[in-house]
Amino acid sequence: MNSSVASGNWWTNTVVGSVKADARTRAYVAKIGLLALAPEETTYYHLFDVDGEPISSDFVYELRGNQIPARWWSITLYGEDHFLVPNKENRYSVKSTQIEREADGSFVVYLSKEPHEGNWISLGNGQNMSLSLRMYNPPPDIRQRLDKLDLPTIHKIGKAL
Amino acid sequence: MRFWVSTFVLAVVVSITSFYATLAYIPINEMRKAEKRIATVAGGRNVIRHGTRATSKFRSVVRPSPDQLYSACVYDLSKGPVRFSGSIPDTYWSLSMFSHNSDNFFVVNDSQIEGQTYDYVLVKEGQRAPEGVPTNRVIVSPSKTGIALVRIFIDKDDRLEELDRIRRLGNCSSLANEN
Repeated sequence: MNSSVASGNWWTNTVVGSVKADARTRAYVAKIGLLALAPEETTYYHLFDVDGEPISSDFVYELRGNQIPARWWSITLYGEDHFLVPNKENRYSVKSTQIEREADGSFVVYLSKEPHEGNWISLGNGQNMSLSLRMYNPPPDIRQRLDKLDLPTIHKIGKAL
Repeated sequence: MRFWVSTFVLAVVVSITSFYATLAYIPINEMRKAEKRIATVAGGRNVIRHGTRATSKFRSVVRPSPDQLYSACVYDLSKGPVRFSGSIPDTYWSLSMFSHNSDNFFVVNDSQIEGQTYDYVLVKEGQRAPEGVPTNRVIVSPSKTGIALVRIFIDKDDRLEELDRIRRLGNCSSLANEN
């Protein structure tokens, strides 16, 4: 059974943490998301590449998003080892409650090795990194439209200095 | 010819069986390692551990959120039920339970509880909860051991100390001697 669902570059799994999960999903979640909650409680999306290439501190990225349908949400960067990427500023993530928004409610987040004005996540010296979007208490009908959500888009905008 | 066909079929069956056995073993093994790590830092089973906010130095569980405070308790129901109680802040809070094979068999969040406290008793199948505990406060675990996790969303970074104070009112303890 294929329980993976993609929405743009983001993908999620419909049975993470669930007693309905098949053996392959359980094994995968155990390795990269042990103690994950079921989708009705928290929906997790992951993004492993930008235009077909892994996220690298050799580049600068721009992530643009609108309203994300959840009570709370956060976007966090992880290293190849699935732990937080070391950086002296401890800038690992952005979240709905503290993100700076544009006048129309949208937001822009920069991902780069060097500090950036506005919303910024540090890439440290990482390679092969990935992002996780956590949506806490999403709408009850989330399961029916996991592949249709308006999730943030990410693009490479230049090389690191 | 028949020998080689039989050998080939046997090899395929053994390969498929081994593949699925390995898949089934992975979550159990990862949970076992996590239980051991958490119980060690907590000082035992049925003891809550209020972890520090995750940074890049955190290595207990993969993909930790730096925007949450985690409190974990490795429960062991072999000697009796385990009680979970504490206070709930005015941000996202949840209490979740994971069985020995990593299934998330129970979760409750702040929006589903009236008031600012929680009090649950976890039992294994066939085990009786202490008298007087309302049935809607009794959780049944499919396994004897597992992990309970309290998550608190740090909505504002300057609330860290306040939220940390609230979650430290939380506890997990064996009721073995109270039955």
